[in-house]
Amino acid sequence: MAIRLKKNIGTLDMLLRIGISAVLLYAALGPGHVIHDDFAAGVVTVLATLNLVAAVLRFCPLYLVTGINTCRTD
Amino acid sequence: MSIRTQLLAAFVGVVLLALGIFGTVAYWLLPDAAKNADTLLLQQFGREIGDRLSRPVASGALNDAMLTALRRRLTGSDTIVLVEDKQGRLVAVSAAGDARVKQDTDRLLKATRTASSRAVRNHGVLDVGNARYSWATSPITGTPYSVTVAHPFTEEYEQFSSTLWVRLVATGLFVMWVAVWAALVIASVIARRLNEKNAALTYQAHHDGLTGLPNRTLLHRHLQSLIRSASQHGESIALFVMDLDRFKDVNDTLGHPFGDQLLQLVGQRVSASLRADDIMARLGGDEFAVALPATGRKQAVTCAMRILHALEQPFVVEGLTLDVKTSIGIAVYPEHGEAPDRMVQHADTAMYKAKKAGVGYRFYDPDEDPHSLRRLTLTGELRRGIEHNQLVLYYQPKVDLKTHRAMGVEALVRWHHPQHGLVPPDEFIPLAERTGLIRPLTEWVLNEAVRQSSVWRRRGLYLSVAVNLSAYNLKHPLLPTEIGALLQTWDVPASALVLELTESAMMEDPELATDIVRRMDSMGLRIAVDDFGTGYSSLAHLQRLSVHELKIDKSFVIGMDADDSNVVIVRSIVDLAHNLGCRVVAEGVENSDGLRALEALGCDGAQGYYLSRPLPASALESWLAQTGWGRAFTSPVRAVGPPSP
Repeated sequence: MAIRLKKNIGTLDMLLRIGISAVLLYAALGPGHVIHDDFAAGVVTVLATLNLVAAVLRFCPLYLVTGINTCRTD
Repeated sequence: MSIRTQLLAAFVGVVLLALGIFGTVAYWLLPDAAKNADTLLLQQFGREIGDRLSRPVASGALNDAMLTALRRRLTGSDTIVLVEDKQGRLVAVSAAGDARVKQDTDRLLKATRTASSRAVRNHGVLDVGNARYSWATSPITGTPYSVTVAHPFTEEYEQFSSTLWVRLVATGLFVMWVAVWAALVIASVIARRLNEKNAALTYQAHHDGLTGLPNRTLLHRHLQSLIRSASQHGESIALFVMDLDRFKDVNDTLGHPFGDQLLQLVGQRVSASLRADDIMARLGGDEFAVALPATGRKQAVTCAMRILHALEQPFVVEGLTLDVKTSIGIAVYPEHGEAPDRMVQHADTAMYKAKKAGVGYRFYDPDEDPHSLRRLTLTGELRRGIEHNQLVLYYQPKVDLKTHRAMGVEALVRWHHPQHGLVPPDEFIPLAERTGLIRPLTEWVLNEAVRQSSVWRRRGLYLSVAVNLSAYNLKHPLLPTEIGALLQTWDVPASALVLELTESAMMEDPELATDIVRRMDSMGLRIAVDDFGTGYSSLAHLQRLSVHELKIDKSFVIGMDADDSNVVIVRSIVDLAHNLGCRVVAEGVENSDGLRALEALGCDGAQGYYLSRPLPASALESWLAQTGWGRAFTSPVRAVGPPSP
């Protein structure tokens, strides 16, 4: 399957993803150790980072597979 | 909701349900797990203390010094250690750190004793005062004593359960992430497969398997949407319905595979000649349709010409060259119908007209449509009209040009419609022919004509009465018998009745016509050929059929003034008729010049507006009385036999 990096994340979607990722990263890595378990913090960090990368690239592989597109300028 | 969305929802739902169950069970197990871990630790701890104490206790040397040492070790801790004998007497106790714990110790002692004596359990959780303790009792091996260690729930417990909790949540989150991914991917794949299958099925249901063109169903759908947008933008749409002339012959002589190939080629060629937006469909058999959006009459003609032009080149199928002709019927929205059904139907009607006329294309004309509403209503009303005597016979006289006397009349039927007034015969007779009403209609006309003849004869008017028969009447083998019965009923001789048949009626099924005409001839009825010169007659037939009279079609007679060739034709027909032994009557005489010319050409009789229009019976009688033509009507002339005795 040829994957072209065609934008499929809309602006609102991107902002939501950045917000969620920021909160999760803060909880996992930030001062105060909201998540003080290393394992859990690791999992949350990985997921939040992936989410953040998708938001910045404005491309979600899952959307590509499922055919979802939140980009209004289709 | 599409299949994909449904599948996605179902999968995500299942994943969330599983996670929910997982979470609930974890939440429910977590405190127990923490408690069990705590108690196990305490038991271990108790056993350790027991081991340490077992030797001094066995030797009876458990003394204050040892307890003091134990107490010291436990100073600052909330852990309470009790040593009891078998009877439950407290042998030694560690002094707890503060007063609160000290107070708790007494209560705890009471409580553990009750718990231990009541059940076999040697560990558990106890609420003592404000604090909650977990406790475990271990026997001191080799002695009758046991050690009970009690420890209040503290941060360690909290920490344990919170660690467990956080890991469970993190794992849950991860599992959910993966599961949702998997669910979405699987759902999409399944949905895509289903959609592909569905699309293939939909395509099959809406397309013709042979040519790959849209079928009737899809054409209707396209038309519907075209009509919707056309009505919004005030545009017109043209619909072509076309079929291949004599395609059946191709199938019959060369076989169906051959015909199928031809249809494919025709489909391709016509499609190629269309514009990008035009939609071509196969309606079935050799019938095709083309919907042309935003097309008026003028562009429709251009497109029709293009299609006809595209089919001009012969087709080559398996080395055989075939010429294909088509007839195109055109219906235009909104003029010719505003619904797809109507448009297809009307284009179809126009197509049959085009085919019949042998022209390439034809627009729908409501007046020609046998199924138009007025015609449909008229059919029902005609039936009633025949039953309720709304029909009237008018009589147009035929005069003898040799004797200058009236020789007979032609009976012409008129319909006095209660609403529409006088309906012309060329409107209701084709209708009657198509609907089978022609039989009762002819019966009525024959009966009325013979009755009128009998009335006249009784009053001494010996006029022959001519009745027109249609081709359909000639397919009715009992007609001669029925006529015979009528003549008998009204007591009229057969020679007084003339039956007029058109050439085309006689040639439609020559054998059947010959049979009936022969029988009528043998009864003494007289046969006239109507509209002679416009159809195709076999002269051999005419000779064999013993026809009595030829009637020259009015188009030649009217045209005699303008064109000499018409004079030649009339003269030829007159000669031909005389040579065949028939009399000849000219129709359509409209002026005195025409009458004189016909006389000069040797024509036997004449009929036309110059002499008289068709008249009702009573008006005809006055006409006979007032004009010179009626001079002789009181005595039989040669055309009309004398009254039977």
